[in-house]
Amino acid sequence: MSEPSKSPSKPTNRRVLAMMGGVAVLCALPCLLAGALTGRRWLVTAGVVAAATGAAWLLCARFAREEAMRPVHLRYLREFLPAMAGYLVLIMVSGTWVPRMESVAGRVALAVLPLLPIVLLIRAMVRVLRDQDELERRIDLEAIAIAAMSTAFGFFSFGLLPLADMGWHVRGDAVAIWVMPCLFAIFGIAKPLVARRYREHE
Amino acid sequence: MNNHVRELRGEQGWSQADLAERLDVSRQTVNAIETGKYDPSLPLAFKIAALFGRPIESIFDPGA
Repeated sequence: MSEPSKSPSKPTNRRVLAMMGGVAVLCALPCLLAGALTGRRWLVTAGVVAAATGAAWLLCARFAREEAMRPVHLRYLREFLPAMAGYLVLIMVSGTWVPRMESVAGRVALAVLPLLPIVLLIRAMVRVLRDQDELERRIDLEAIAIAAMSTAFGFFSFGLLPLADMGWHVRGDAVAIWVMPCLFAIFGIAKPLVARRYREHE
Repeated sequence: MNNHVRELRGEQGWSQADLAERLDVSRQTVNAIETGKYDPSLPLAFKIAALFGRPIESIFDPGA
């Protein structure tokens, strides 16, 4: 068996999380500012989501250990970050140009454009799930199961509430667009809770 | 399931991170195995046994 390599310059979990958190918060600021100045709600929403994600990553960095990131997770970051950056650019392009486009086909093409990097994002997630070690995979799968069931339960409940005719109506598209962010957010909350079950006085 | 992974790792003078790198798993996985929070799969158990040069049943036992 070969000796484990000692390379202190390897990116660590803490540093990577802190960097990603910082970038997300920095991205949130112009979105919030532009949203406030132009009155575009989607920009404000994007800013709030980016700020919340960045804050969560910074919080995780605070508690993460200073240990080298495994190659499988470095590869995941190399795939995840460009896809996420592409998504952010395309959602801006889509949000800005869809209302100005005259042809229906053009509007449809622009509206679904941000889905392309989402497909790459899903591919990166499936690859990391497949290639990480067995305990990491078990934790992720448990967290995904919790997130999927909670999201389904939440949105199903939300779908039943209008039956009570409480006088408020929400547009279906406005609800549908929050399914994926909710799934990811609950996954992000569930994962450290699931991981705690396998941790003891490190 | 009980195991002697921590003692065997100590005999070699390896840290959890060293053992994790040799097994190509995360340090958290090594910690979870050592503390009995997680029972490894058969392939990983065989890998651990091969690394320490011992039969699998001398490292893992079903326990009480």
